[in-house]
Amino acid sequence: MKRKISIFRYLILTLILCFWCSDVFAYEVCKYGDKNIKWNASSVTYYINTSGGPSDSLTAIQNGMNTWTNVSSADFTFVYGGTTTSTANGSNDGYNIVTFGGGLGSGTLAVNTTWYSTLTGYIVDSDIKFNTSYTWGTTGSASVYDVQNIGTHEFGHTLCLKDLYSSADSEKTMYGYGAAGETKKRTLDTDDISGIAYLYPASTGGLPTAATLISPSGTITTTTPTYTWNAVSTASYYQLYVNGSGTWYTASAAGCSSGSGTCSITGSALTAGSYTWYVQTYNSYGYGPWSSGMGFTVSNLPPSCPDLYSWNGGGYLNNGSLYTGSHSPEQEYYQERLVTQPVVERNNTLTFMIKEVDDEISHINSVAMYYRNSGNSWAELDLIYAVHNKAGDVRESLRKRDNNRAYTAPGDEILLTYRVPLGGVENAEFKSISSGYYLWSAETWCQILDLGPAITVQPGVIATLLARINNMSAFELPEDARVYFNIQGPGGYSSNNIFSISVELLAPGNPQWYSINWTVPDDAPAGQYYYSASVYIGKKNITWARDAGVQDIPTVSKNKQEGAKAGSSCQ
Amino acid sequence: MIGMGTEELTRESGVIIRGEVAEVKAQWSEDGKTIITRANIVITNIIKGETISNMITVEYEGGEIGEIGLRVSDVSPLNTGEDVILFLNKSAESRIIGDVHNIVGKAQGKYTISKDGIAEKSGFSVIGGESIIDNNISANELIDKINRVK
Repeated sequence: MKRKISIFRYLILTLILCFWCSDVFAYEVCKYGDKNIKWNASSVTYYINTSGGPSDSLTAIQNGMNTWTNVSSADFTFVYGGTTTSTANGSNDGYNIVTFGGGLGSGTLAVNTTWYSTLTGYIVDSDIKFNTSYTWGTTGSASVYDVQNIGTHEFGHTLCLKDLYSSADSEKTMYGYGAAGETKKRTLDTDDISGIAYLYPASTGGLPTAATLISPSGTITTTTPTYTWNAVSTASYYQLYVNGSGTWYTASAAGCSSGSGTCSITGSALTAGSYTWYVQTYNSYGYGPWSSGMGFTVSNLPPSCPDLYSWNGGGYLNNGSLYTGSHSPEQEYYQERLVTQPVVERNNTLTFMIKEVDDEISHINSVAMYYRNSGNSWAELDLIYAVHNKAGDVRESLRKRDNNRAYTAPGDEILLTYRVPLGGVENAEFKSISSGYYLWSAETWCQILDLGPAITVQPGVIATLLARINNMSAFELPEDARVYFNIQGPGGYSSNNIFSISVELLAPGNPQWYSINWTVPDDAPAGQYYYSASVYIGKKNITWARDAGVQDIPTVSKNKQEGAKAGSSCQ
Repeated sequence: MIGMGTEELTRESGVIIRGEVAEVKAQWSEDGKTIITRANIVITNIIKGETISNMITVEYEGGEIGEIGLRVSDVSPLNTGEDVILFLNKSAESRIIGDVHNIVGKAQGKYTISKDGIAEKSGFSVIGGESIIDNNISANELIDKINRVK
């Protein structure tokens, strides 16, 4: 839609310009009937006979030709064919000449004689003659008529531009009035340029061609995609259009000022959804065509990862996510994180911290820290301590990639302490290489649908506790998923999360019963017991909290040393 | 061309008329090297001089014959039906046979009268004429100026 609006604006601008043109008669062209009289060629050759002219007239005449030739928005070239002795001015001989001579009558400075076909309007011959009844010069001297000044005007007639008379046209080469010593007609006005460009427009090669798009396409998982397209050699600007708006960038800003290779722009943030993007080209000739559209979809994004902090002498500064690339549940990657914040040693150690973000539990296989001083290769730092704020020492868990992993729940921190290597780390760079994946995000939940019936138990008897669990997420539960049973009883009896069983691979939407056996202790006091169940991934409780308050109240057992009945609740 | 004001044009002209262009016909010159156009003008007002009839023939270089056309700078062709004021002299060097007149100062000696009575010039380049040439003035005002010169 926006693209249409842009084109509409362009049309409006064009209309405004056209009105403006007609209002001041920017230029006028020769007509025969409804035909423009013009050359049916992009070049015309002139031969010059300077006999009777001033000494530098050859150069002055060629300068006048080149002035028109050099108009980049037009495709027309005046070719100097050499000198000639011909004086056949006005003859329709297909031999275009510039001469000096008399016989033009009083008052005529120069005359342009142009032959053309009435069938096509195409010019077949055009001669120019300067009247030697007047004094000519080439330096702009006030007392004489300037060859280049009048010559440039006459070559405008060769193109078949007509004289202009409005005072608004006074600075134009095609202005019909002039004066001795005048030189301003040597330089074209923008309307003169528009005139030649109208009659002899630059080939379509003047306008930039359409860009071809490369990426993004398909499904992406970043909200700030980088848009990449092939450079157009003749484009100096690109308009990137996406998500309802377009923005112009210079080729330099897009990294393709050379006109080759690819152009890239990182766009503004998007929300999840489907988009189509386009690129339009532009250069001094005008607007190029729009590219074909390329569609892409921003998918539901993976959760973020724990951040890596570095100690700067006064506190911990965030260097961003420990995992910098895309990641998904149970897909493990080794990824680098360059440390961009200052790292300051203290007590001959270097301190970093991994801090989990608010909506995630991560499973960290390993974290290795590297440094390099200028000119050296990367070397691994020696890890002295890795202290989890809840789990304590996790150094061994992080040292190598095995099944001994460290977990981080929202807000969890792991303090990493490294030994300062020999030679110090002044001006050193640091980076981490870590592996792991996130285990849980806000979309992963399990629901306790049912608990087992009330039972009566005796000390020493095995009681079976049951829970029916529904996986509400989109994935099978990971290997670290377990259901924990919590028993509460009289006299402050509690067995929080002592009993658990794996619920690994529980498929979404397929509720299953899980059970554990509880051997009633011999010293268990008589009374009413309750149990509840909760599902964890790692150390994150993923029980769907809304169910906690709607579970059945357990039946009370009155027997001596009774066992349990259940109610489920969240921890 | 050198710019000619109304006073100079009037003084240089033997005949000044207002009329309507009745017929325009191009023909090759006697030497066959160029095209000469003759236009017959039905006179509606003799502003200066005398004519032998109410029609006068004007000649200028350029025009179209068959498939070929010739444009000469500083010549403003006459078009059938045009209402014009012409500054004329009898031609002494006509390249085709006949008693004809030339326009004084080439295109400078031709005014086209628009429907709203404005006298307009076009089709020429002049040196020094910007301040002296009357253009886009009413036909009556132009005629008054001519009459004041006579």
